[in-house]
Amino acid sequence: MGKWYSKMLQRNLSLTCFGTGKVNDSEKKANAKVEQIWNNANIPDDVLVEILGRLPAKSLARIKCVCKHWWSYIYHVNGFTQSMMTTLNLADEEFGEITGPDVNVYLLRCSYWLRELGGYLTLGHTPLNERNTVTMWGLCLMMDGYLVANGLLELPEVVENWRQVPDRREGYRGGVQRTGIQDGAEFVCKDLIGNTNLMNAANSLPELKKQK
Amino acid sequence: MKDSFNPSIEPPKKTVTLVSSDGYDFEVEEEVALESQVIKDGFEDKAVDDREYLLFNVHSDTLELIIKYCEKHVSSRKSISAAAASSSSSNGEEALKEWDEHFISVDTNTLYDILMAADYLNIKSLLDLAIQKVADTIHGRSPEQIRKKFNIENDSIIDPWASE
Repeated sequence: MGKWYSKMLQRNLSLTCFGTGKVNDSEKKANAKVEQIWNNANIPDDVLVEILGRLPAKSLARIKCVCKHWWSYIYHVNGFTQSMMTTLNLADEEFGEITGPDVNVYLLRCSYWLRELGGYLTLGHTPLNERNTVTMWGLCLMMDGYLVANGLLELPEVVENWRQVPDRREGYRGGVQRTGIQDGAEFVCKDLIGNTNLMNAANSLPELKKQK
Repeated sequence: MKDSFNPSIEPPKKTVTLVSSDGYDFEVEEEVALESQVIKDGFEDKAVDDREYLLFNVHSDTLELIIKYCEKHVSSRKSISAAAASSSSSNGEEALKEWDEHFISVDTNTLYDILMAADYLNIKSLLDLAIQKVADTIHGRSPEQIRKKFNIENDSIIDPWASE
């Protein structure tokens, strides 16, 4: 058995779970409607990451509740971003040392995600506290400044989002004070896309409504 | 055959046999098959008369489409380079892009099959095309629409603070 064949076989073995169990044409067409071929583990990880990586942050924020598997990816990416941000925070004067096109593109992407998903970011399983959140936004803005300065960021919508950030934060702080909820208190609420969440006061956005 | 010294007689085109998961044989030209990185990898090691590839995960319907895609790309690459050699302007690349777009405009089940086959055979350009198509399909749709479009079951637990 040739090298190629064994390679192919190996690849096949790791892919067996992805097959749609095709038997013949008519059967395939009959089953096509009920088969949930796009679900969960049917898409290889690298392909899914590629797909999600090509979506803008707004779409990502919207689709993260499509199914558990997709969500876990976006969430995971967020967790990774968060740890990266923490690292950056320790060396925030050293932006000049971050080099290479890949890192820049990655940072750009991170800053988008952070801004769009900021309300949901967690550090491990611990929700971000106020200080962390502020630091994060600050870092986003700093990063944007860095990227603009280096000619890597030219999108006009960024400026728009930029202005929204302080407004949002002010609004939510007011809201928290009005309802008398302590920072760190947890409550159930509906998020922007209509899912019911267990939220932390420090993380909630002004648009989120309290349901005690 | 390789001893043929007569330049007017074209050597017979080298072919490769691809066998789909449901047992159909597809005879394709060597360079078409070599579009697939997986086939290309071990190609030289294989004996010339033993160039038959069993594609366990590719249905004949999908394989037909894949071969169509590869043939188109091989032929248009040739014509583009020929046009470049004769320094005549051509819109070959644009035409190819248009063709690609038309090619990938299929229903989601077929798109899934193409995506999986492209991943399996490691055809970079086709995989890229399919991934972009999926991303485009997702973009701008609500979760409910996406679920409906891709027939995904709603098992979502949007609770980022729930422990595993």
